[in-house]
Amino acid sequence: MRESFIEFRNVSFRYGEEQPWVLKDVSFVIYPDEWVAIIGHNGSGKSTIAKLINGLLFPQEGEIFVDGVHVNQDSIWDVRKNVGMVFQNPDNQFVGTTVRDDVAFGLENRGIPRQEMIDRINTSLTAVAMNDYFLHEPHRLSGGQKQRVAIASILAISPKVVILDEATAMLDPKGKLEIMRTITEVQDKLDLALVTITHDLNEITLADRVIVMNEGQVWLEATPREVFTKKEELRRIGLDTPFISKLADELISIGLVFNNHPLSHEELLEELWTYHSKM
Amino acid sequence: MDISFKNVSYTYQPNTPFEHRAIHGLSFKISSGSFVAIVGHTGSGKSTLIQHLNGLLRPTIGQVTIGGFQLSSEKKLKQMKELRRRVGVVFQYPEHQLFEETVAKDIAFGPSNFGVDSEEISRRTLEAIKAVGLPEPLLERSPFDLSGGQMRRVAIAGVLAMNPEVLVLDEPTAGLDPRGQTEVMDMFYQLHQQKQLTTILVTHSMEDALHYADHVIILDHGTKYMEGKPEEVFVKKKELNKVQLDVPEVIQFLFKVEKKFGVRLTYHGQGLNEIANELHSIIKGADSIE
Amino acid sequence: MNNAFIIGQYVPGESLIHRLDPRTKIMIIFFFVIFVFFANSAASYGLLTAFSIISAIVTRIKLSYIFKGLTPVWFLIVFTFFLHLIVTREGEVLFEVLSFPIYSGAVIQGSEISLRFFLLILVTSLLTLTTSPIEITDAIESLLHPLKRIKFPVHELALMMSISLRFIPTLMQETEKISKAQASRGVDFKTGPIKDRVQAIVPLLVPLFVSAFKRAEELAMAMEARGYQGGEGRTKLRELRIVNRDRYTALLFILIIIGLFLTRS
Repeated sequence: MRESFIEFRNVSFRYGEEQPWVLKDVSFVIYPDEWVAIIGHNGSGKSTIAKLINGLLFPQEGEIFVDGVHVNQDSIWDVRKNVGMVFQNPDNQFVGTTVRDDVAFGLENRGIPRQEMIDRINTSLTAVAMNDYFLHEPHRLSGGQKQRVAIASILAISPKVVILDEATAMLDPKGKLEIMRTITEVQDKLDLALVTITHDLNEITLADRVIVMNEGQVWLEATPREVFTKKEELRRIGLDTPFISKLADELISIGLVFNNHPLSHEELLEELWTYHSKM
Repeated sequence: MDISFKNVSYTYQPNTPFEHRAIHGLSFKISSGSFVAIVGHTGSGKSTLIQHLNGLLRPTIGQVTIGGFQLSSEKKLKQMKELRRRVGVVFQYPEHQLFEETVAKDIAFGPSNFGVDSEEISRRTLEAIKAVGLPEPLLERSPFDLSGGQMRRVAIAGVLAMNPEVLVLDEPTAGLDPRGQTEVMDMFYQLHQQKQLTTILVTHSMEDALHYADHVIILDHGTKYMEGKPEEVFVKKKELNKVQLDVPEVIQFLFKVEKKFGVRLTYHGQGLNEIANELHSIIKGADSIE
Repeated sequence: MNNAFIIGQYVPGESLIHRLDPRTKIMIIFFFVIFVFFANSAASYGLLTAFSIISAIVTRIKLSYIFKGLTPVWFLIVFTFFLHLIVTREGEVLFEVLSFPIYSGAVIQGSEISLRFFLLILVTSLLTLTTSPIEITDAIESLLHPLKRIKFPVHELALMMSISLRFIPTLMQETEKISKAQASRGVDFKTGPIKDRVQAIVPLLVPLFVSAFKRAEELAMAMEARGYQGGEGRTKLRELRIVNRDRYTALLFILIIIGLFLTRS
């Protein structure tokens, strides 16, 4: 069996004694090198998961392990060395007064020597194609660019997992595309586990596995393809399938049968073509 | 209220090193009661444009007419308040403007600024909270105790309670989850139909523009790039790609079908089930093509 | 905001003065501010004025830009001068204006005070014109470093300053956004009685505070997630270095101060 990298064991969490449970008995495993998408409507508890992974919050019940280490008050600084997080609001995670200073922040915290720092800043800003913006101030950057800097800051500390906590939610379509392109490239090149948290189902098609959250519980764990076949159920829990999947459903309802539930335009066209040749 | 822009330009911080021309030579007309989508990238001048609609900005050159109100660089509009009452603007992330102790008070803020009497205000508050689909007991809660989606609706209710004749929406669904997005857009569409509200939607979503608008204006670098009915504008793939915009996904797909099967399906607002049927007949009737 | 007023503005450049270590600049200005008060002869004033004006020229920022930017200060300088003319009664009466005697001592004192004032403002604005706020922050952190021994939170103070600098533009944009949103709901910030205008601030301030707190909270979380645990064991990317040009500049300044004492009467 593969060794797990992140493991949730019966985790329950709430913000206070009187508050409702945000997570209820959540268990799942994420493996190294894997891309897992966590989806759910706003308020389904998906962002809480991210904050639990690197000990920004602690569960009232259950246990969380990252790279074999139990996440608790004593281990958080070790855990955070392995976990990089990009948050939703591009402005509220930009600490430095310039792009270069922002990437440096995480390295300075870890006491990396200056010369190595400079190398790492170069490499990681190049990886997200922001190497022309070293001395730019944050208010001169677009949302997408700020988020790319945030990704670079995280790559610079070479974590073992990168978590994108709704990192595209506040971006325009161009910015969303930039981020999705960047992380796909990064995941290809580096040995990283990737956890993307989102409510946009268009962003999960490339993931290896999807965890669907609803009302604080794991509602489904499946491949993107399997997830998209459950159009009605997804809609009931506030999510929406992509266009192609909807169209495929309409085609199925008038009698067509597909070998594979199509995820992209090309796949659907291919399926139709097969039909066409058979006719 | 009919709206018209005549050769409008707007320059930020003129005569300084920071001078920036946001819109340039913009002319178009919006007729009363229509639903218009304004589409373009960040920085294409959309926000500058909509700030002219209620006089937050006055054109540097040219003239903006909104019903009986005229905005130009020459003179200040005397009835500014009246214009703002009639043109309601829902800004991006409108929940950031909430400040009162209770939801009811926040919704009442706009109307009371415009001198509406208290009886009428309570009537409108109730109407507005219903229109945005929130339960009445919420009125006595603090807006800061609500969820993000609920706060958004309260802010929208605050604009609706002004009883505007024109409703300007700047990315009203940004950050909402899919269900929230559909609910909010459907709600605006319903209001538009029921009250004949002139609605101006600024959006990045080609899908929304196609689905809800009866007229589309495409901006690029501060100028009008294209204008027309959505089903006419959104089939111009080459032109749209040139300014890095995509055609809506359904139309994209129909183009690909044409390429693969050599049969043209035109989009005219039909539903997915119809498209499925049309596709079905293409693959069945393919013999006749080959 | 971007009018001609230049105090506190930074104009990026590559001049000698731009490239000086910010600590050198701060120390020179610190001592300049003290020694200005030692000048008491035409020659000593001339020396200090020459030093300031030549420094201004060396920055390669247009002198007209600098002087125009000091417009509001000119008013104060002229005001100080006239105040002295009226109050001081020393020396002989030079002439009378509307039967009000003007004394020679008043003219001399007034000119001296006004000149000192002008030099102080000019030299300090040269600092901010040629040094980015973050460099000033770094310099303050470094200069205050000895205070760490008495448990003065030097690192925290510097971090606080740099984060404030980072968020000023963001909060300015936010202020504009919210005031536009409230103006659209009928708030009038510009006309009407004072009482109403003061009240109109509430719908602006509350959302600003709410958002600033939310930002602070999220920023704190992001900083923690990125491994921030206070100043202990941190390395620094931006480093300050005293090089020869700093040493020569300091030496030159010392010579000028010696000159000052030699030319004193």
